This record gives sequence, C-alpha cells and structure tokens, in this order.
Amino acid sequence: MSRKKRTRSIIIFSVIGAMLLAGIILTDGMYQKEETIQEIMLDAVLHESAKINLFGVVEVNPGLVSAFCVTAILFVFALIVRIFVIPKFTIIPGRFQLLLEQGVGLFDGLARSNSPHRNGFLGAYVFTAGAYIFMSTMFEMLGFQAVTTEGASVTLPAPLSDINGAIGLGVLSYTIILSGGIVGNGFKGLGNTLKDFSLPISMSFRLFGALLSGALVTELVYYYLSLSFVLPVFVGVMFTLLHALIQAYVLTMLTALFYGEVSEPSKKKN
Amino acid sequence: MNLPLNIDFQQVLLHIFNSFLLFVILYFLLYKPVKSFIDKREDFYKEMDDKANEKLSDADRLLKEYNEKLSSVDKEIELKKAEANKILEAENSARIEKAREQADGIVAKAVAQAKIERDSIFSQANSEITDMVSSAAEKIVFSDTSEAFDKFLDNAEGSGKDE
Repeated sequence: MSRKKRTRSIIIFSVIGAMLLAGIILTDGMYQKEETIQEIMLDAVLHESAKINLFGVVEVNPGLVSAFCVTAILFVFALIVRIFVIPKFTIIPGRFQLLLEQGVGLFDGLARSNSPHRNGFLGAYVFTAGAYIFMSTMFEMLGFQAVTTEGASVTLPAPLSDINGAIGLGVLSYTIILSGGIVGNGFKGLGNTLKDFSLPISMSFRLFGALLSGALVTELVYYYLSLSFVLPVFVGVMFTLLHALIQAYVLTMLTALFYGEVSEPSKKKN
Repeated sequence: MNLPLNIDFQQVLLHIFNSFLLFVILYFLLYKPVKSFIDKREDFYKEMDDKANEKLSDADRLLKEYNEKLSSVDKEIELKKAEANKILEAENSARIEKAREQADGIVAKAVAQAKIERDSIFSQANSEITDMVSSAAEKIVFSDTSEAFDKFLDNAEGSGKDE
C-alpha cells in the first residue's frame, strides 16, 4: 500500500470513529425504558412476566412459540429442498447440493466416528439436533414479534434460552442415549446409561447456560442506546453465530460420544 | 407445583414433542434422501473402482499369460530348431551314405567293367597272338626250309671260326 492510500484510509477510519463516538455521547440518556435492566434480565431467565397464548389452549413461554416457529421454518425449507432440489441432485454436486451433503455428511461422520457399532439412527438424531440448535439460536436474530397475554409486544427469543426448551432437548438426548444402550447392550447398556444419571441435567443446563449468557449479554448491550452503534455488529451477530455453532457441536458431540460408549458391545471374557 | 427457574413440565413435554416432530420432518424430507444419494454415489464410485480393479487384474493376468506364452514359444522354437537340426543332420547323413553307396556301386561297376574289358582285351590279344603264332608257324612251315637251314648252318660255322 502506498503512503498516500494509507493516509487516506487513516483519515476515513478516524472520521467514522469520531462520528460514532459523537453519536454515542450525544444520544446517551435520550430514551427512557419502561423496565429496568434488572427486570429485563430476570425475565430473560425466568420468563415469568411475558406469556403467550398457544392456540388459545395454554399459556406458554415465548421460547416454546419460537421452537414451533423454528420447526415450521425448517419444515418449509426441507419441503422445498425435497421437492425442488433433491430430485435434481447430480453426481458432481453444485454449491447448494454440496452444502446439504456437507451438513448431512458432517453429522453422519460424527455418529460413525463416535459410535462405530451402531450409528444409523444416531446420525439422523444428531443431524436434527444440530440443525435445531443452530437454527433456533440464529432465530433470535430475526427479531420476530409476538403478542403476550397482557397485550404487550415481545421479541421471540432463542427457544433454548428457555429452561424448558433446554431441559426438553437434554432429556430427549438422554433418552436417545438410553435407547442406544438398551438396544446395543441390553440390561448392561441400561445400567451403564442410568449410571450417568446426571447427564440429562448437565446437558440441559449446559445448553441453557450457554444460550442464556448470550441472551443476557445481548440484552445488556441493547438496553443502553449508547452501546447500540458499533457493538451490536459484534455482540449480536458474532456472539449468536458462535453460540449457534459451538452449542450445536457440543451437544451433538456429547450425545454421539455417550451413545457410542453405552452401545458398544461388551467384550466377552475368555 | 412451583419449581425453581420457572420449570414447567407441560412445556418441557411440548418442547420434546416439537423436537420429535422436527426429527420426523428432517429425517424423511432431508436426511434420508440426501444420505441415500450420498450412499448411491459412494456405491457408484465403489463399483467403478471395483470394475477398474477387476480390469486391472484381468490385464495383469493376461500380461502374465502372454509372457508365459512368449517364454514357452521361445522354448518351443528352440525345441523345434533342435528337432529340425536333428532331421537335417539325419537327412544329410542319409544322403552322404546314399552318395557313398552310389559311389561304391559306380566304382564296383567300373571295376567290373574294367575287368571285363581287360579280360576281353586279354582274350582278344591271346587269340591275336595265337593267330600270329599260327600264321608265323605256318609261314615258317610252309616257307623254304633249306634256306633257313643253310642260314642256320652258316651262322653256326661263323661262330666256330671266331673261336
């Protein structure tokens, strides 16, 4: 880079930085929130105040509505892919085909490597779990709005930032591991799985804690207008993206690992 | 029952139901078709690989066979050469023998012929000599014997004087 170009770049970045700083300083304290940051963060953890009426039958946390929305989105996506894309698959794949094959191949490979003896069902499950965790974490970035029972508007959060969603996925994963143990090793597999009785709790709370911490940091940043000029690009997008990838990998990896461990046929003693 | 952190079993079950629903959807619409396509492609390339390996092994086998055949052909050529040489040698010796026999025959025939000719020449010469002798005898007998006697006597006298 020549000296002239470097000077021009420094000037441009300095001006942008100065303008952002001026915006942050001038807008500080301009808006008043109805809720305090404590109330917002407490609600993000407990989901006590904001409830949504599900089909007029039961009042649920916004996280459950988010979960159904994610399922609906994935269903539409899968249906479109099944009808329009998969029949046109070719031996030499195109970009989108390659992306789909990589996604399926990644989780199938994860299942194969961690549970070499029994992995057909496991591959399908970790694929679903990975897709669900990734998409549901990214879902909060869409900022879908829903109306609470009190008539207020609420942004739909990531489903797994709701403790019930995290427990649901943790328990389901544990059930899958348990079934693998029983099918692979019978009574011994059942015993091996039940031995790790803390697994559903650790899985659930790991997911919940990771997702919640991300949500809390984001809430904290968004609460103050002065922090909403540059930081959301990093906090909102990068944190969410990283969370999505890391949590999808961690849960699927753990599930595959424990599944492989309990379903491994025991060696007969000679 | 109030559980800490606002845990609600009904909602937990609803979440599990949602996850199960998503599993069924993604399995049948996305995972299974894509995986079966990947497996098909894997089978396709495996089959291609197997065929290529089969062809390669066939080619190796053929090469081996041809090499063996070539080496056996060399041996066969050597064998046939030796056989041909043997036949040629036998033929040559037979010819030589035959030629020798012919030569011996010719020589024997020539000797016999020569003997016959000699005998005939001898017999002819004998008869000629006999004829000559008889004619000479005749001449002697029928010529003037007195003259001869005289000559004889003269000769005999001439030899006595000299002594």
